[in-house]
Amino acid sequence: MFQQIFAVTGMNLRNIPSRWSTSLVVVVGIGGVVAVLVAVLSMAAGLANVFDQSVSTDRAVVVRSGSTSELSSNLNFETSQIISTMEGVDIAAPEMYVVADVPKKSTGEPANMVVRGVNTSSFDIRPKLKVVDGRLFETGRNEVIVGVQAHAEFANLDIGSSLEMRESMWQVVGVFEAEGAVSESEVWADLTVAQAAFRRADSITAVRVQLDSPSDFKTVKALIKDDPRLATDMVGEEDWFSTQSETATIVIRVLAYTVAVIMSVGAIFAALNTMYSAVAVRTFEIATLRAIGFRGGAVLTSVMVESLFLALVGGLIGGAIAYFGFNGFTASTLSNVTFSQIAFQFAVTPELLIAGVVLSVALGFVGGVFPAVRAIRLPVTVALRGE
Amino acid sequence: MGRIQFLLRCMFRHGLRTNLTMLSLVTAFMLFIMLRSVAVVFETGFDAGPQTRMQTASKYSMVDMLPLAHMNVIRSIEGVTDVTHASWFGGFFEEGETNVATFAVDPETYFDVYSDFEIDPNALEEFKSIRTAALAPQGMIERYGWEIGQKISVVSTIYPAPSEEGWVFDLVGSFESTNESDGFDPFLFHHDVLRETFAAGAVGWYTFLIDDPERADVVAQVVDRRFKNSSDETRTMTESDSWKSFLAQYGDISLMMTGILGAVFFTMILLTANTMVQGYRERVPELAVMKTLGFSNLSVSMYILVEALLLCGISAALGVGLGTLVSMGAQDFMPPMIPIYFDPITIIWGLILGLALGLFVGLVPAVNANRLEIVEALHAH
Repeated sequence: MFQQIFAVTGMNLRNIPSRWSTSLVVVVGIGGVVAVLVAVLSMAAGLANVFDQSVSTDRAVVVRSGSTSELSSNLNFETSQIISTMEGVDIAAPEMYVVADVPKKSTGEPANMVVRGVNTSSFDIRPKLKVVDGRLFETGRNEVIVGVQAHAEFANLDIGSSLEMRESMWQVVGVFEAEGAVSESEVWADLTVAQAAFRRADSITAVRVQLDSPSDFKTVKALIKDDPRLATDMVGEEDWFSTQSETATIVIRVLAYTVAVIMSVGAIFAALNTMYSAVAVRTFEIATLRAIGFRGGAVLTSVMVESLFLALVGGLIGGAIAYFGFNGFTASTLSNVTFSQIAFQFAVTPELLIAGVVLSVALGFVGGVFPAVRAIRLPVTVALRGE
Repeated sequence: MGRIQFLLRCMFRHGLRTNLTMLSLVTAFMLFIMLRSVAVVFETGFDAGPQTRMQTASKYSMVDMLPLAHMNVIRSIEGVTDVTHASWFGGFFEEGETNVATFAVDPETYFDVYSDFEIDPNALEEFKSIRTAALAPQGMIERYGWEIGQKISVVSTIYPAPSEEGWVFDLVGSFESTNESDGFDPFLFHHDVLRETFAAGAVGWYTFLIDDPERADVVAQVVDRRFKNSSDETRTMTESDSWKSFLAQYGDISLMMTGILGAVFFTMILLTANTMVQGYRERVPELAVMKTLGFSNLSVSMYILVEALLLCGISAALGVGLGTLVSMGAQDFMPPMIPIYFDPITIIWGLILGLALGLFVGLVPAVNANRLEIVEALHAH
């Protein structure tokens, strides 16, 4: 039995080159579905990565009660001082988050860029953040350092160039990296200078908290909630960032799956077409094999293997196109929660590639099974008598 | 046998193959309509109404607010007929769904500026007179299965809720705008309810009507110059342009859609061309016989070409029709910020694309059929 399967299947596969144009249709059709699905989903994965990189379990954000983003939060400076003295708190960094319109490199149109006013404690709290080019801004001066993604997305953020925000001029003095965290899409300035320039008096938008350990979260949260001087909430970074990433990734996934389902239906028709004609061309050959004693199962398997093989090749090519074409590609989009640009890199993860290959094999299976059944249903005598 | 009958016989000579090819083409054209319907909004902005409707927002960024006092200044500018204001509320109705437009507006003037929105006069009166009243676009009411008269609880990402239930509004009626902005149309309530919050005395943006669309640029400059060097400088443009620049911030959606469609149609060209070539090869002896019977070279190749055009044309028509139906119904199932705006031009492009595809894949077999030598063709078989 196995000998028969190997013999017929081997014969089929060796024959593919003589039918290359029809076979190519399956490979390209299924390759296209996989490439599109993986490429679009890699956007969602890339966006999720940014937030994953930003999260640390021993950090939290304190904002005004009820706010889900720094944009809508407003606190006075004392809040950070009160929190810094609490039991279980290692560092409490006051930060001011504002959005400024700056032209994007790609379109020249203004887009929302995050400007974060910070003092040295914000650097202590984010050890991943490192100035990789130029230097840090000096306290008290209109200088900014720009995240590597912001530098790539927005125009005129090179070191030495000046940036106008709200009638004030700022000098770009450095570029920083943060291992892919969301801060890379931001521009940082000295807190006191920024407060004056953006007319915020001494108000801040949030306090970043470094806890002594993740286990202190509950007690610190309760302390903050019960303090009569504070009308604030503390949110762990995990929850903080997951609300921010959810909306954007859901939209991308809905789009990806809708397109993939419709394209898959089209690709199945293409695969069916090819496999039916592959069977039709060999009607005589199959009948001959059956007549000299090859079993139906062997013939069926051979057709299935051919279809699966072509689909697999398509899936691998599609995955490769997505990987080499899009992995690491940088794009940016508007977050609906923070109303600012978030840059991310397409991430073609191993999981996505595996999902793509699994899909291709499934499509190949559906496309092969009906033609395979037809191949063995045809009575031998009829097939042999036919043209 | 008439020519048309003959053509159809040829086309469905290998019925299964033709049907399968057509079905894949139908799905391709369906995708074309659906993706174009998403992309078109990001490319052109949508026609948000008359070209006389302008918008003034903060110059610094769209999240900065403007003082309420700007309203009277704008109203006093020559050429401005009606002014209203609105503010982004960042509201959502259900857990996790933040993509709904919720605006705090001035009930007295909003529908003067949006006079092209259809609303029942009684509902508008009620909206004006009840402080907690809200209006929703018809599409939103259907999506959430609301009934007029019910209470709607909204949670805001910006404004802390006054009670455990969130912000509670009385839904007093619905309105309808152009179908183009469906999915972006806002849930409306009184700006007054924000009086207790930090937004007291501040609004997100102003929208106003001018009497002459030709003077849009001039009026925009006058408005912005009026607020220059104040602590709240402005940026004024037509509402359509302002939508366009907002949507552009989401990134190059149009390029992405074009990329996907490119992949789809590359496959389709290959698939259909393959079907046509196969069909041609099988028919070589028949074509030779036709020529022997006196059909001219031209008419034989025309038969082949028309067959390809029919195959692609019929599939395009079916796919476009199906895609249109799906696009028109899909908005209800999509997250509201994936706008599906169905533009009739898309249908025409779909059909043109279908015929172009037919021409492209039919050309090679048709030329071959034209050159076919009778003796050789009959000899080969």
